[in-house]
Amino acid sequence: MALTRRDFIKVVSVAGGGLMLKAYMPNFIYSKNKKSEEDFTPAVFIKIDSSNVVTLIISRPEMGQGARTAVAMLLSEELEADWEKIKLEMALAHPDKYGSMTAGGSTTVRMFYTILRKAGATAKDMLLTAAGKKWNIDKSQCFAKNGRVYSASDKKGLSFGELADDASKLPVPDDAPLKNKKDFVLLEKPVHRLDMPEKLAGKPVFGIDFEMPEMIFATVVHSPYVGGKLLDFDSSAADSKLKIFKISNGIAICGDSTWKVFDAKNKIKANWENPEKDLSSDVISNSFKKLGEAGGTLIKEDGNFDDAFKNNSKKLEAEYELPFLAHAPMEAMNCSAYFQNNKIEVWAPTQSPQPVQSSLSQIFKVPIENVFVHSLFSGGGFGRRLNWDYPIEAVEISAELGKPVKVVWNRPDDMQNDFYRPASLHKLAGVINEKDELIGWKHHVISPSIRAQRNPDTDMKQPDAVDGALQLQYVIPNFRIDFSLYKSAVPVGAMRSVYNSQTAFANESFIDEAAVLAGKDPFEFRRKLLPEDSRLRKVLEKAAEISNWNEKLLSGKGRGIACHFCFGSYVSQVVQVSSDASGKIKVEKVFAAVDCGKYVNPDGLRNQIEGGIVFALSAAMQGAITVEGGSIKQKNFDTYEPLRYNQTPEIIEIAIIENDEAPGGMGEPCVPCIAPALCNAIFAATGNRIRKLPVYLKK
Amino acid sequence: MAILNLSINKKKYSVDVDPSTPLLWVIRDTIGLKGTKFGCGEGFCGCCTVHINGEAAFSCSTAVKDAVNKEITTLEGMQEKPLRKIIDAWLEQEVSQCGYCQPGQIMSAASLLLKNPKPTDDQIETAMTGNLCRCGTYTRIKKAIHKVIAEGGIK
Ligand code: FES
Ligand code: FES
Repeated sequence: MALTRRDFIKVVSVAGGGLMLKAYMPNFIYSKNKKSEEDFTPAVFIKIDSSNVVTLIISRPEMGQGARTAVAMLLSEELEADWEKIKLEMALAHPDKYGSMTAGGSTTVRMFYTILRKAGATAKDMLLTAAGKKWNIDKSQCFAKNGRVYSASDKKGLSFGELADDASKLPVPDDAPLKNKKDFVLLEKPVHRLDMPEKLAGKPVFGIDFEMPEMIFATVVHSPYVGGKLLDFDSSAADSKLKIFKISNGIAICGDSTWKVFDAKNKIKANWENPEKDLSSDVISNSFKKLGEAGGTLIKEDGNFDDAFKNNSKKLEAEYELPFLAHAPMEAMNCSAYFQNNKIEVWAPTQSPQPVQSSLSQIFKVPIENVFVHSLFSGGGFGRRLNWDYPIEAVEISAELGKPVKVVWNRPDDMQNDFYRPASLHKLAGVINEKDELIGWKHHVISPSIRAQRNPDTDMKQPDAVDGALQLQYVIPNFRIDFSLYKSAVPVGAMRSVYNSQTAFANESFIDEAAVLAGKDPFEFRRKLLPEDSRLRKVLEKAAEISNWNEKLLSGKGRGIACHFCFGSYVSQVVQVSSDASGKIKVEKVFAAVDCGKYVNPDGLRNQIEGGIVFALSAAMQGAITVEGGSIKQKNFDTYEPLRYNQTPEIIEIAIIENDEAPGGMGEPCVPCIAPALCNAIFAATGNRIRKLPVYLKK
Repeated sequence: MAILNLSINKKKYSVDVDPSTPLLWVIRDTIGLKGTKFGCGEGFCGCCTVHINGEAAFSCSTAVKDAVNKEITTLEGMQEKPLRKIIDAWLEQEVSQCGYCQPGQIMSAASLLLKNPKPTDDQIETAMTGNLCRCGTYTRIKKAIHKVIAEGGIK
């Protein structure tokens, strides 16, 4: 069925009056090309009630990325609402009411940019028409500001609330005009985050703060071994008032305070099977090497790499290796749940309410409409909360007790039971011709696959793990990508920028090595390989400009550059380091140039970039999860330590390219370039090429 | 279990808990003030920072019995001026991302500024290095602290 534009926005009648609009958008996450009715899902609900409160029902959870503020800005800009009176309501999980509710892949602003503006503009248009009718004038003589409609002669105006009922009876216009960029009052302006005042007042808004009457506190003892099953346990040494029992994922301990259940963990003696007792980081590393030697499956080839490699004498090969990483958000995994009368209610700091809902419905055999998932604020997510392991535990424990429970993990649990950023090996080979141009590139990715680990039937001809290798932006005539799957016993999952954090390290380290072999400046060498109109080339040039790339540094200092495209955005970063006589390296400065197309909140954008840099430096400098005897070795922030205040580089300078391109992501794209830029800088300063992360800088 | 008397944010509480319970969990679970956060439980992250007699302390690593008869301050006790100026600076500089570590960051910064209204950058670094922020907001934390100093501190 052909859809007219009008199908995108509809009026919904609401009890108690007021104007409610439901805006549809293409369901592009699930179905890319089709255009049938099912391909559009209502994604946005806005409500203007007669008391003049504008409510936006938001479907994407907030984990610190500023999503709530950004979506409210998009709506309010067009609606001309009173910014102080906008109310955000987090939607309950629903399988199809809102489209995808997942906060991941830097998609929130990208997906909602246009639809929210259209919804706001449409509602405003209807309010203007309603006012015009009241005043017997044309709507073009009315204007809206701060939640009221005025006309040239009516200085007092009418509030949106007073007009909402009348507006709801009007046809929905399909051509409500969007504002001009020059008239923006909120968009592209720094706006304060809406969720911060209550967070800094200490209000109980995070998942871990949730409480309800009769609630039992619980924690879980998990297997210390990767994939280990519980054999038996003895809890006689623990406080007899605690309820301790086996659940599918370990041993539940329940009591009347978090501390009592945490404390009891050490008093339980449990025997676990250790199915991977010989597994260690060295063993994994060796498996990578073997897979690398065996050669991979060809994923993509332009030109003929092997011929180019045979027929030229200047060539290079290098291997890059990266470790597993834990997400380690500051708020450990936790979830509250109440399972009673065939009804499940959970309160979860989650990034993906719908999979939580559907998996709970399946596992506990409760109809999906009886599963209520409240998304609470997360103290960081970075991809960890895309998984639904911890809500399952909470419901299982509530089912056993018949009471509401809050399950909280302690830090070692959180660190040892993650879905880790995969470890991987990258074998690269390059060919340079007699004109010192890079004409051949081969990248063999050896990695676990997040998708294949979830679903062993996944087609490995289009593997997820080559993401970022496949999309290399340099124009190289003989280009080849190979892939080998490493079947990982260690659970893997998406972490901020997913595979791009690995592939960009390999790409951007290797191109640096190629520049050295070609005797070229690393920045110029990259630039030449990018088409003139390429957006990546522009950010590369910008990064060189703001970092004074061509200015010579004192000896002992070095700069490294890198550039990468992912999640719809183009980023180039320069890291500057110094090394002292003892060989101690210090990260002095970081520069970033970013093209993410249209953006919403420039200050939020900067904050994401600054934070992304620190997040990525943490990994590059000192982040590694290692395996020994089938166990994850790191348990707390002493051995897996994010960057601290005193390690943060002095200056972070950021340039944002202004253009009208479609909005790209920013939570993730600012991560991938940091590790290669850092290692390239260390090479420039010391001549030492680092091909294995982390760098482990001396403190 | 024992009855212990605590003074938190100038209010008296009498709690019946095991005296070895970390102060953090008494504040969060027994008294119900949720502004103080749990991050690591072992003194590595600073999320749980409170003031005990004005000194910044990790409440996860302080037994409640050691806080008896002392003045405890948590984030909730920082909401009125002049102490509040630090929170206002945090809001104005838009320091936070997820905001989870920030109560601890604010308490560490406040303890420093109460003792030393004009700290040097090195002193700030020493005071703040025990507080982790996984979202990486250190640059803004520094700016916010400088703003409070420039505006005359929090006394
Ligand atoms: S929770 Fe106390 S230092 Fe981390
Ligand atoms: S703001 Fe998220 S951990 Fe600091």
